[in-house]
Amino acid sequence: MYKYLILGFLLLPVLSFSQDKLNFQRADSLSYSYFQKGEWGKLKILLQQAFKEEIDSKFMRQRAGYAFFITGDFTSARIQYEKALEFDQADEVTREYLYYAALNSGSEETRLLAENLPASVATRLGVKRYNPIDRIDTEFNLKTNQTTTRSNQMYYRFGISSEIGYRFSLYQAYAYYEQTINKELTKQPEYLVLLKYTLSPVFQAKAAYHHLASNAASISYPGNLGFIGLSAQWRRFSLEANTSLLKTTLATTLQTGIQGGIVLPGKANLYLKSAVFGMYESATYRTIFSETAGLKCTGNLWAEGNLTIGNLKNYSTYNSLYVYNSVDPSIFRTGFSLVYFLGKHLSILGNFTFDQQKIESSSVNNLYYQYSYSGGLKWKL
Amino acid sequence: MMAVSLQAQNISELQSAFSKSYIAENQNNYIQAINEMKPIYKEEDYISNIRLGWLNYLAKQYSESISFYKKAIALKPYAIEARLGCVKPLSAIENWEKVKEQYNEILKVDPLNTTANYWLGVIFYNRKDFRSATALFEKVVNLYPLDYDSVIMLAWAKLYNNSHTDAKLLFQQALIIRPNDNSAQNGLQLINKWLEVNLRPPGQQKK
Repeated sequence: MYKYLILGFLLLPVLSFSQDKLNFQRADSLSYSYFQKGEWGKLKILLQQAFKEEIDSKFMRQRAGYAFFITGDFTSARIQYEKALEFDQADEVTREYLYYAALNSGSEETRLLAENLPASVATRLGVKRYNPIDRIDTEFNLKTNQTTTRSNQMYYRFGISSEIGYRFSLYQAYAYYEQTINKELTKQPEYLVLLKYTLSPVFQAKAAYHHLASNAASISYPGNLGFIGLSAQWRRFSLEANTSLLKTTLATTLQTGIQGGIVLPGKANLYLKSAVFGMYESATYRTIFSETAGLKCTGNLWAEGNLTIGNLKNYSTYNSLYVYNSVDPSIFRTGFSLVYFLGKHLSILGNFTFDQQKIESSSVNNLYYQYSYSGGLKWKL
Repeated sequence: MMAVSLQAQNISELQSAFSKSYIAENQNNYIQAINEMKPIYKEEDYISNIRLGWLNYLAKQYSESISFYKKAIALKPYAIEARLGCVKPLSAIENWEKVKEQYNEILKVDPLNTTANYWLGVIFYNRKDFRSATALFEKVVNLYPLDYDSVIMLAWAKLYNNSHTDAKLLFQQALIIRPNDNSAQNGLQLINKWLEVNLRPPGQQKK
């Protein structure tokens, strides 16, 4: 009896191997059957195994791409459609779904892919080569604090994004910042222009100019910031190197940074970003570290959390959209954002940020807390 | 003397393995045909790589097939048959970019290769690049004016490339080669409709 049992155990791996062994025909027909039945989980497992065993075809990549797309894992879908495109660059189904996957994963190559959309799809989706006003956005922010000498801070911004062809994009924004410190009003109207150029599906170059018309107690302290950056996005990974120079009447700040990110597999589209910046100002050097993590909570709701450590005096972020040049520098910041996509055109942003600030003029380590509340709207025309 | 004897033995083994492999292939037993080749397989042997490329293609083991054909191509870069063989598994997995690559390599060696010109023309035609397709089909038709497939493809490519007069002549030629051919008749009907609409005297244009 034991003899048969041992024999059974010995044969078990052989039997299961023969059952699981994959070949082209099996992978192709089974994946087609799962595709037709909409068994996306089984389809993904089967094709991932097939690709590992170097069993591959354009149709299998398209099926895998669709399975990931329909289950909301847009980065994985994009990777599969990119592989399908390597097989056949003229395939219209691949081009169309690659565009959708890139669009939903927020990929920088989306506009470049729009150029290759089949004409009928481009017309249906309203994709145009030139869009003088592609998107408008607005943001309002209020910062409160616990000090008696500093009032609440107020900031608002209006922006217009334009598409100039499929490679160039232009973003312009007007912003205004205001705070009263020791009964003296600080006002700061701002203007930003950001130009992005997509060099290839992987690389993107960007440059920006940001003017800060600061005025404190009726004295002007204008500032000008120039920014250049080169970013790369490949499969799940992103990398960016950038540098900016801020010149004001009070100081010159050189900021150089490098940041890397990854999007993890899964329908939550969980992404992680790390950045480190070197700040050189008034012959002193300091470092800033920043960590960001975000995910898709439900169908239309995304959440993001971030943490920034270091002296943030004159620190600029988001392609120099925000310049933290308030009198009191933050030394620690953490925040949480929610973005809700309301239909195809409108997205609503909410953000709460906590800052630990240091009173600039204080010789001792005089710290206070600041609470920031933001709301924003983005309208894609 | 000993070396000659060993070589003779090797050739005899090789011939025997190939012979057994052919028998298995004819019985549609492709895995058996592959197994017959394995004992004598040498990576540097062109003919074994071609044979295994072909058998793996028949056995629907496309990545293995491509890998053997690639080895054969590396051994004899000017051999057209290896590239034409490689096209088969590449087509099976719909890797049209690599198929194009192989046909282009063939045309570098043999610019008038009929198979490469015709099938590359078909790829361009399917991609609606009728200008490129026309240029390739024309080469084949110049060499084989009575080849129905090339004539009809050139006719359609010319039609979609707005060369209606040339297309008409070619559809007529196709009907001589293959009387009552549906495709040629459809093409001529389309041309006649086009002529009716576009060549009407001024003032008689259809509203």
